[in-house]
Parts: sequence; C-alpha cells; structure tokens
Amino acid sequence: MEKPLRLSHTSALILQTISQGYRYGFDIMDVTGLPSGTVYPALRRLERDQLIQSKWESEALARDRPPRKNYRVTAWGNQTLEGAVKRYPLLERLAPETKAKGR
Amino acid sequence: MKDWLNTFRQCQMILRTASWIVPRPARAGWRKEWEAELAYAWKVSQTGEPSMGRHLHRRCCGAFLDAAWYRCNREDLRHTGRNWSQTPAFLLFALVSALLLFAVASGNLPRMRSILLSPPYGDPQRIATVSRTGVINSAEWVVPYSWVEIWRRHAQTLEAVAGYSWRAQASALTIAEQHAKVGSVRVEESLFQVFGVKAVLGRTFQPSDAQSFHNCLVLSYETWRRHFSSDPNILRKKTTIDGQEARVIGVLPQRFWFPSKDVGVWWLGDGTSFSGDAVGVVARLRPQVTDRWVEWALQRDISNADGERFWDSSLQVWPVQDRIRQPLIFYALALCVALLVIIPVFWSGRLNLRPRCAEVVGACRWWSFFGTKSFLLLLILLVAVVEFTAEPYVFPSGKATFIVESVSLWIFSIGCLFVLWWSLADQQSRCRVCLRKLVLPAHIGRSGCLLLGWVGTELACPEGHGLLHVTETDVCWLDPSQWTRLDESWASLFSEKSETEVSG
Repeated sequence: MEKPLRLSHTSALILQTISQGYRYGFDIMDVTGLPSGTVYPALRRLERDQLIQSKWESEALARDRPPRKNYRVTAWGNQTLEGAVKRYPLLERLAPETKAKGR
Repeated sequence: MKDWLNTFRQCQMILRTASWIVPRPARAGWRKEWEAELAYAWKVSQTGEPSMGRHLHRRCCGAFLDAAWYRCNREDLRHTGRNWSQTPAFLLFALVSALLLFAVASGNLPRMRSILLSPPYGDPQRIATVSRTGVINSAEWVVPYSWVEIWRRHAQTLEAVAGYSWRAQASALTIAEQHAKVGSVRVEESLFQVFGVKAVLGRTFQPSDAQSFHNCLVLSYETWRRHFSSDPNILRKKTTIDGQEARVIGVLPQRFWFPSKDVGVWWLGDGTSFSGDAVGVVARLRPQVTDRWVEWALQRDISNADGERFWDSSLQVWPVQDRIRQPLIFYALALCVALLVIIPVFWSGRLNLRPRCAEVVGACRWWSFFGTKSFLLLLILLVAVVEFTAEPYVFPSGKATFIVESVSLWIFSIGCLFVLWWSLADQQSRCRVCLRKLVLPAHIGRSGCLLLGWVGTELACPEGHGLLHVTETDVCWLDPSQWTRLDESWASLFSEKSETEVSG
C-alpha cells in the first residue's frame, strides 16, 4: 500500500476545507482567510499529487456567469487527510464546519 | 457604480497580465478559472464598497504567484536544470563563469596584464637589458659595474644606461612610525630616465641627489597606497630604511614596475655603492639601431676600454618587452608537447570521436564546440598558473625565481595534458549530433566470470539522435566505442510529449 503524503499545515487546512464542501478557490480563501497567492498554488500541488480533482461546473448551473472550476477530495486525498488530522490535532478546530447542502 | 465597474476591469487587466507568465498550453484554462471566480465575486458582492474593491484587487494580485507556480514549480525547475546541464551551452557558460571568477579573485588579472600589455614605460620597444651569455656561473644576468661606466662614456648606440642591483630579501621601511617590509632595489639615478617615467607625487632621482641626500628613495604606487594609506605628505615625513635614515622624494605611477612587481622601493645608489659589484643593466637604445648592432658596439667599447675579448662569452641585448613575455613562449612549448601527446590518441580512433553528421553545419558545430571548450579550459589553466604562481620579472631574483618558474611550467604542462584529455573524454560522452551529454548508462550483456566486468555500457542521447556503445574490454575485432545513429522514427520515444502521455 502506498504511504500517505506528508502535507504542510496550509495544504492540510485547504484539503480539510475542500472536504467540508467549500469547493471553489475564492470560497476557500473566504473560509480559511488565506491569500490567493497561497491558496491557488496549494490547490495546484494538491491536484498534481492527486489528492483533489477539479471539474468545471455545468453551464446550466452557472447561468448568467462563466462556469467556475470546483475541486473535490479524492479517496487518496481523504486517506491523506486522515493522516494529516492525526499530525495536526488542531486542524479540525481551525477548519470550518461542513457546508450545508444546497448552499 | 462606475468605480465598481472600473475595479472589475482593472482586476481583469491584472489577470490578463499575470496570464502571460503561465505557459501557453495551460494559459487559457488558467485565465478562464480566475475570470470565472472574479465574475462570481463581482456578481455576489455588487455593493460598491471601496473596501470590497481593494479586497478584489488583492486577490487578483495573488494570481501572479499562482502563475509563477505554473512557470517555475520545483519539478519544472529541476527538470529544466537537468536538461540545461546536459547542453553544450551550459559547459561553455560554466567555463566562462570560472574564467570571470578567476579574474575577480585575482583582482582583474594584474599579472596577465603585466605580461600581455605593453610595459608601462615610455617607448618600451627601445628599452633593453644588457647581459652576458656563456658565463658558467650565476653572474650571467649581470655585468661588472665598471662596464656600465664605460658605456655611459663611450656608447654611441645608447641614449641612456643605468645599473641596478637587487637583493632577494625585503627591506624594513619605516615612515612616521608606520612599518612595512618591501622589496627594494638599488639603482642609479639615470634609471627612470631610461624608462621615461615621471613621478605622480614628488619627483624621480636627479644627478645631484646622490650628493645632497643620503639614502634617497622613490616608492611604488602600491607601497604608498597599501602601507602608507596614500599619505600626500609622505615626502616630508621622517623615514628610515634598514635602520638608516632616508628620504622619500617621490611616488611612481600605478602601473610602473621594474624589475619585478615585488619591488616597492627604488633606493638611489652612487658609484661607490656599486663599485666592485656586478650589476644588472638596462638601457634605452637610440632609434633605428638593431639589437645585434648594439651588442657588437657594446662589446667593442668594452674590448677597447677594458681589454675584455669575449672569447667564451658575449653580450646580449634583450628588449624588456620580450623578456617579460618570455614565459609565454615556454607555456606555448608546453602546450605543443601536450598536443603532440593528445593528437595521436584523437586520430587513432580509440575514442571514436569524429562527428557523425553528414551536414557541414553539424560538423562545424561539433568542431567549434570542441575548439571553444578546449581553448577556454587552456585559458583558465594559463590564467590560474600565471596569476597564482608565476611572477612577471625582468631580472630574476635568484634561485627562488627559477624554482617558482619551473614549478609553474610543470603545473602548466601537466595541466595541459589533463585539460586536453578531459576535453576529449567529455566530447566522447556527448551526442555526435546535438552535443548533449549522453544519459541513461546501461550495462550490456552479463558480468564476466573472470574479470567481473560487463561486456559494455550503452548510453543514449536525451534527444534520441543515437546510442553510444562503449566496450569495457578491448578486443581486436571491435572498435572500443561505437556510435549508432537513430533515425527520425525514434524521436517520439524520447520527446517530452510522449513521456507525458505515458505517465498520464
């Protein structure tokens, strides 16, 4: 079995935020308070390491604005996140509560 | 509302600018993502608050960091660095950098400049040393002082002549309680007239100085600057040299040196301080007289006045400029010997180095890279040897000079062999077409039972131009190395695109 990656605290926080349902870049910034120059490169790295997966939202959902790219955690990402939560016990307190469905 | 719209446009402009940093294949997708986020943020927060505008500006400025990640993330940098280090341009760049580093470390190559540039003397091609050859002892470089006086009185071919005597030990110089150990040379007052040099501070020696002052000194610019902090009042300060009272009357220009760069003080000696001694002689020749003519005329003057017949010896008039550059001739000879050793190896075909490109351009590129690389390596070696071992001089200061010079020559000779051999070996380990370093060494066959070695090693060009097979053991029916040219059909296997496809 492949060994889980060791994430930095920031990457773990972003991964945790995505797993809570905040799937868009600007939403992640709003929730974590991290600047865009930190969040986006971290998203690129997480995607490169296959911990998250990106997908463009449908035109129907976007309606009168351009479709946004959203991110979701992969199974490998969830496994890595479990390891990160053990490593950073305060992560769960820092990360926001799960986003309500339909928001 | 209008300001708010302006904010949106400004943010779009920021994103458009940042998008230029992103590599072209990913640029459209990157911009689409950021602009969609911006449009969403603009739509949900159309409050017109100035703070919201600043907030959006800040977020969009972060796009530059995101774009920079695309351009130079760590893996890309490593990949680019590895790729670049294999190119011929990298090696040439490294060699030029090493050369510049030597230049900086040595303080702008002072010794090389002393040897190569015209000496800092007025009309230097007319200045020559006069020495005796064929003398079986160390007095070869010097002549009796009485001869200098004869030439001063009788020589028609000389404009001026001066004698000097140089000790290997440094003198203790003290000026206004500041002490320094500097190389000194005792000279006649006409020495600076021979060189046609003027002082930058004070003056040089005059005929009356020997009678007026005891121990009259002229300092080199370097001694004045380094040991006495370029003191402008140095001429009036209390001075002693080797415990004797003295007087500094001038400082020479910065580039002037004679007979060695070690000399920091020229000490005026009169006839009595040289009489009975053998001295070095330097003279300014009259215009349009040849060295051979001067030699003959000077010998005739000595024969007439002193009775010396020059049966076993003769006088030699040697232009100072040539004497300073003499080490270069030895270095050139050492290089020739090294080439004589290396060229047969090159042409024997053992290294299988000759380019395998049918096109003239390719062959020219191969040869020019080999030539430039070898030239730069030899230049670095020469600079290192000259700057860090050899000392330019006109008159050798005894055995130490000869030892240093011999050591320099040996270092250069061995260095030449090593450098040329390395250059050949490097050329062998490069692609015969694109000159990149060959990679992916793979052992061929199976390890031998007797010698525990492999049959051979195969290396590949990173661009897929060919394979180099190097045999580990010489066998008479095989070339020691064989280059196999791969045709175009192999290119896709080596291209980055195919690697991505495979990994994807």
